[in-house]
Amino acid sequence: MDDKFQTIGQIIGGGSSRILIREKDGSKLELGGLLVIDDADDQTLILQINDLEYRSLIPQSMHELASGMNLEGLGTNLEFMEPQLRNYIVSRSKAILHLVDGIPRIPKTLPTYFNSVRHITEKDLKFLTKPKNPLYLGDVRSGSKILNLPIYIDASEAIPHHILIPATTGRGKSNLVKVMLWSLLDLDNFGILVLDPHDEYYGRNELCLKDHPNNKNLVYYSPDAPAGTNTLVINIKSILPDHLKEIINFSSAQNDAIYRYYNTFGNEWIIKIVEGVEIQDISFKTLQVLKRKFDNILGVYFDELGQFQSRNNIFSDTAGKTTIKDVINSLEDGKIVVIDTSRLLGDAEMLVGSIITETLFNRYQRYKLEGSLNEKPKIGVVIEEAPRVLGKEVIEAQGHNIYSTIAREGRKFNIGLIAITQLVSLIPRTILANINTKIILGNEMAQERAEIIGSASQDLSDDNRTIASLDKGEAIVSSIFTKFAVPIQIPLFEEYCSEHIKESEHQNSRSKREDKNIAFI
Amino acid sequence: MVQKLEFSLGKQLGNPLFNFDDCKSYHLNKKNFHEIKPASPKRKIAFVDGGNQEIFHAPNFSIQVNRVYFSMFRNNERILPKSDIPTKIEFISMVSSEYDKDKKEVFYETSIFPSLNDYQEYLPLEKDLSFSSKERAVMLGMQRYDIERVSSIARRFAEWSFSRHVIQNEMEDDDMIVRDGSLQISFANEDKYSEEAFKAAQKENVYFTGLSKTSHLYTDTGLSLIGSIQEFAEECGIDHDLWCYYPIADRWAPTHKAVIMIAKFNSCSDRIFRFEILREQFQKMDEYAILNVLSSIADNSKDFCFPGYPYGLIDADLRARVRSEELDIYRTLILSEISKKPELLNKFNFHVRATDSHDILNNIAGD
Repeated sequence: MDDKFQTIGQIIGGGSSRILIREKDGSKLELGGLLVIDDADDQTLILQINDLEYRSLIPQSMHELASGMNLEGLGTNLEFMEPQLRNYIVSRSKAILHLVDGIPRIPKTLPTYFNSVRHITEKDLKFLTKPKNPLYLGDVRSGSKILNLPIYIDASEAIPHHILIPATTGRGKSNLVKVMLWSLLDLDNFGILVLDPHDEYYGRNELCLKDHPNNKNLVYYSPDAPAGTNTLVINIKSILPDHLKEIINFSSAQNDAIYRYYNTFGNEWIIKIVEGVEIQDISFKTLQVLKRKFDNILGVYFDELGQFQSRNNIFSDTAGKTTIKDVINSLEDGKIVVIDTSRLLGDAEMLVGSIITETLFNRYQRYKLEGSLNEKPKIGVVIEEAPRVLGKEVIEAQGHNIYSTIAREGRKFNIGLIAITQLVSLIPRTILANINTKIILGNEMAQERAEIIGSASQDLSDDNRTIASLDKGEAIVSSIFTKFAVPIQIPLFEEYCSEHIKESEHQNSRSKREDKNIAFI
Repeated sequence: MVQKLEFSLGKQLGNPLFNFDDCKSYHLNKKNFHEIKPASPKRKIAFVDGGNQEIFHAPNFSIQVNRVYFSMFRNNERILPKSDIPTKIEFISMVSSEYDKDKKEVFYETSIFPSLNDYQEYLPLEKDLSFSSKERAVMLGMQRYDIERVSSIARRFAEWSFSRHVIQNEMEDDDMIVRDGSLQISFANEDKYSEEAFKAAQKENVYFTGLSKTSHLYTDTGLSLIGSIQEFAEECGIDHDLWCYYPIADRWAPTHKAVIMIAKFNSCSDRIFRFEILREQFQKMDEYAILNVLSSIADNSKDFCFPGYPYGLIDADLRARVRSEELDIYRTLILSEISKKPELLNKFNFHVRATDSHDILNNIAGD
């Protein structure tokens, strides 16, 4: 019999919430591993291992005595006879899917008692087909074994319903986003805005999105733009008071002052504040505080010669008038727009994102009113450290911002968030409930795991240990668009894209050869 | 009490006591200690044990579940049967008492109901399980034994019968079978089954042995023979890791065709056991062969759970044991059948209630 179909365990008890399986000696069951029970009448049950524990038919005191004797060098002529029969491992597993004639259903019955259990194979998951707009996430994983079965979600459904990537540092968040963006570059009808605070997605000096065979779909903005890309310059006049209000916490006096300057000077209001132009009823002190705030946050000031200056060269009083419009047009053309915000402080980065997102959101609202929304590409906004804009405290202090608005209402306008965070617990439940795909990477913080589990699309209440034990690159995809919480292995981006490039080159050369042959004939 | 105990145990060790005319016992002697040296005998060893528990009890009937099991090991690795003999047989036995007015005697009659028809061939015949209550072997002094003891006879006979089949189907030259308990027989008709098993063993050249967890043998000073030999070993400074002590006695009784020895099978063990070899085989064995057989047992007596006691018998005990939890299942099954006949159920309950009050008190006490 094929190794894959060998019995690796047997049901010895449990119930609908957890099925107890005795491990066949040497089978090495793993946390998160997927198991299959072939029941009668073409019915198959897929289980996932949530916990493993030692069991023994020998009393614990006997084990302890034996251990003591071993450690102290006594009883060298004693052993546990037939240890494989008497000491064993029991897995607590949960039935996650019931396949009736190959059609997946939620399990409602228990498999036959004492039935044997085997490892999952690609064949068992043949119902996981490639969707129309495939967004590749990784390959199905059973424990640490990787199956030759790629997992895609349909980007046109998943992106407007928002995607959350929760994980602690070093678990492969950036790698996952790179893999996803690479996959999205193959699709023509998705505009993705990426605010890149580490300038890691374009691949200035290494293999990354710029190397994609379909890189015509990639637009890059940076204050230090390589040849052929766009310099990130934003005209200071395109910033409205509302943009800033969403990001920065102003006192009521400062708030009043901002609107007074905006009403007085129109789109030059920031320039006038930074220049120190006084207006009636606004105290000098308030003006000085605002001036200092804009310098700290946006890095803008007037030099000794009375010239407007930007410390990061991103904000200008003259250039960059079309930047926002150009970015939005690119997104509307179904391109991935990566904005290098590595020179911006956090608030300024959010501000840039807000300006673009809000303008885009307004435009898509209009398309919906006009009835042309479905002709437009679906939009995704990648935001790192999402609690900066989606956190409970931020929303309580500053009210809803464009990101939280998108989280709640974006789906109606085909705009979704791809939110990345280490701290899910900071995001309100109401927002988490609106995020319908969660790609859960490893997390050692119990409180964070509890929040993730509580807001998942599938019941992951028994997966606490499994999530804690997820290694780098291992993830669980919990989505309303997947039949079950799918454990995946995200490929290492460099390997994944190298392979993709090779495949693409191979295909190109083959089609060229075929063209030549046709010419010959 | 301590003083009394000190006096009682401080007596001379004495010599093995066997109060039979046909028995000659040997004085304790240091020369009778023999070292069991580790050998690497490759023989197959079969271990046989049985268990029974009462499901229903009344003064006039007893219904029991019986189980007999065997396992085989070679080099301490379990061997599966090569024939289609089951490793475990189960049957229900029902002993009922009938009063013969003419003979003025109570007779016990046993009916057997195997859980699978295939088990029938391994079980004793019902006719061999009918006794007069005055049969010496089923009497306790001048009193009739309780019917429950009579019921265990079916299991005992089944052990002999099953052992024979194990030998005939599974064992080869120089292999060995170890029964749990002594090779002594106690009941009428038991010899028929033991003899068949012994003959099969001799025919196949399979050593027929028995190992007793408990021993009630004495010395002529009233001490336990096992305790006295252990003490004697200390007195004599026996420093062998493993040893056996024989001869102890010669007996030619048809009810006990075995040679008794006392053996220590593991250096980490503080227990020694009564071990027996079929006399007719023993007489043909030289010392090397005897010690080699004992060495096979010693090699299987290394388990941490019970050092010095063969693992095969631990396993056989576990598998043959009828657990209390199982009894409820049998009780329910039988009662559901009986309850289809309400009149029978009524009568059944009348008789069962004659002896089950203790169970009710146990339930109240939570035992």
